[in-house]
Amino acid sequence: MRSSASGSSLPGVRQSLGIAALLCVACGGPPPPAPSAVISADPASVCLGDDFATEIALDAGDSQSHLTLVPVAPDPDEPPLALSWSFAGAEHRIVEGDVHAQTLLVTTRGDRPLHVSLHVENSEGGEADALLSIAVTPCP
Amino acid sequence: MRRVTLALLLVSTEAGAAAGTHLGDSSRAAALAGSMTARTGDAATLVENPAGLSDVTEPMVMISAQGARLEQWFARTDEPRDDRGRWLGSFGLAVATPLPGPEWLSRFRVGFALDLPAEHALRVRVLPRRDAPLSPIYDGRPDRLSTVLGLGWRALDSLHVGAAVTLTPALDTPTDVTYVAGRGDTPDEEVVVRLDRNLRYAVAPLFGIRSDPWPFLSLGLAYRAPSISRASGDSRTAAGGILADDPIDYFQMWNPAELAAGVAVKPGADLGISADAVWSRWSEMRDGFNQRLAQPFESTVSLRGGVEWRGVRAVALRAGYAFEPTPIPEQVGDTNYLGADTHTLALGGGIDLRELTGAPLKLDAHVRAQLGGRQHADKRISALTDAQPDVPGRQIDNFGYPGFESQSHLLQAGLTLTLFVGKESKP
Repeated sequence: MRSSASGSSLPGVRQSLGIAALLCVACGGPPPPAPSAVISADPASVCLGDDFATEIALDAGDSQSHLTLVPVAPDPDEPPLALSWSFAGAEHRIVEGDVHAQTLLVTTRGDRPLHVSLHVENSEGGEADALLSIAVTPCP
Repeated sequence: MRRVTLALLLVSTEAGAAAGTHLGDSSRAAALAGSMTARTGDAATLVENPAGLSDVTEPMVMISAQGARLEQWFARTDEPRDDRGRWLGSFGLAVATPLPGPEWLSRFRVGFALDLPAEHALRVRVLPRRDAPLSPIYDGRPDRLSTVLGLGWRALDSLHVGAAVTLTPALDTPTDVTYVAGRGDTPDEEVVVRLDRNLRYAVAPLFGIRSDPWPFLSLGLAYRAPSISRASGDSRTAAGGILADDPIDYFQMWNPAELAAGVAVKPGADLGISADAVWSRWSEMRDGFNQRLAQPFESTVSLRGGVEWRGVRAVALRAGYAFEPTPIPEQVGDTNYLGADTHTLALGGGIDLRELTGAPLKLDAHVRAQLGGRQHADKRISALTDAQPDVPGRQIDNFGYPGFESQSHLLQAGLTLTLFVGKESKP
C-alpha cells in the first residue's frame, strides 16, 4: 500500500496543484520546488493484537526530489532527499533501519492503528509530508 | 479509510462578534456573555440584534482589541495528550451614525463593523485526511475576516427594527489540466494547467426587532442566517484517453442559522439584567466536502445572562454567564470532531469620560473564560469505514481508534474604546 503527498494519478496531481496554488496565494514569493513524499508499506495491516509478531516493511523509495505532473526518471546527479520518519498511535519497535533511513522494518503492538508519517526535504529546501496508517483488523 | 486532501480557505483572525467572528465582541457584549438581544445596542452589536442600532444617538467609532489563549488537547485512549493550544488575537472596528435630515429619515441609523485577524491576512489549512481531529468551534470560527453592514429603524419610540448583512470570503477555483503532446521538450512542459482563483464575498442576512413596552422591560428577537464560506469550481483534467471532471466543493460553516430571543429588565435605576436563549441549527452542519455527516450534529439551545450595575457615577460593572451545549454527538464513527458542553464566565467594566471630564470617550474592558467539559469517545468497529475494502476483513485505520478524549478552554481579555465624534441627535 502506498501513501503519497503528491500521488501518481491525475486527480492526485490536480489536488496537489490546487493546494500549491492556494499556498502560493498565502505567501509573498514562490516557494522552493516541492519534493514528493511517498510511503509504501507491506503489509498495510496487521491482526488486532498482533503483539509485535508481524514485521512491516516501510519504504520511502518512491519519493522524488521534485514533484512532477507525469512520471519522470530521477536525475542521477540529484542529492539524496533528507528523510525523517515518525510514528503515532500503537506502540511500535524499529527492528531494522532508523528514522532517517529510506527503508525500515517495524513491528507494532497492534491494539490500534500505527500512524506513520514521512517528512522529506530536497536540497533546495522544498518539503513534503506523507501520512499512512497501518490498519488493524479483527482476525479469527 | 479513504485518503483525502482538504484545502480550506481561512481568512484568519481570532476575535468576536462585532462583525460575527467567534471572539470579537465588544467588551460590553463580552462581559454580559452575549446576552444582548433585548439590550440597548450600539455600533458593535449588529450581529446580536441589528435593531439595537437604532439606539445610537450620535456618530460613534468603536475600536476593540482582544487577546486570547486557547488551551486544547486531544489524546487517544492511553496515549499522551497532543497539545493543540494556540494564541489568538483580533482587532475590531465598528462605526454607526444617525442619518441627518427630516424627522422620518432621522429615525434611521446605519452601521458598519469589521473583525480583523491579528495574525494572518489569509490562512490556508490543508487537512491530510477526513478523520483528522477537528474542532468546529475553535479551529475555524475565530479564523476569519468578517464584515457587517446594518440599518436600524426606530419605528416607534418603543419599537426598534434592524437588518444587516454579514460578508464572509469565499473562493471560486476553476481548474483545467490538459496534456498537449509535442508542446515542450519534457513531459512536464507538455502539461497545461489553468488555475483561476476569484475571491468573492458570501452574504448572510440578519434581522432583529426589539420592543420596550415599559421602561423597565425590553423584549428582543433576532434571526441570523448561516455564515458559510466555500471554495468551489469546476476541475477538469484531460490527458489522452483520460478525462476527469471532478468539481471542487470545499465547505466551511462558520456559524449555523440562529434564532435568539431575549428579555431585559431594569429592577432599579442602576441595575439591568438580561437573558437570552439562542437556538442554533447545527443539524445543517456538513463536512469539508459539503457532504452530510454520517453522525449529524444536533441543534442546540444555549442560555446567556448578564448583569450591569451603574451605581457609581460614570462607571459600569458587568458580569455574565452562558451555557453552550455541544452539538457534537459521541464520535463513534469515522469523524473525530472535538467539543463538549461549555460554560462561559465573564466580568467587565467601563468608564464614561463624558460624565467625568466631558471628553467624548468611553473605555470598556472585559475578561472572559470559556470552560469546556471533557469529551470522551469510544469507537464502534461496526461504525467505522473499512479502510481497505479489497482486503478481507474490516481494516481499521481511524485516527481516533480505539477512542479519545479532548478538552478546550479559552481565556480572553479585551478592551473597547468608543469615540463620540459628532453631535447628539434626539432619540
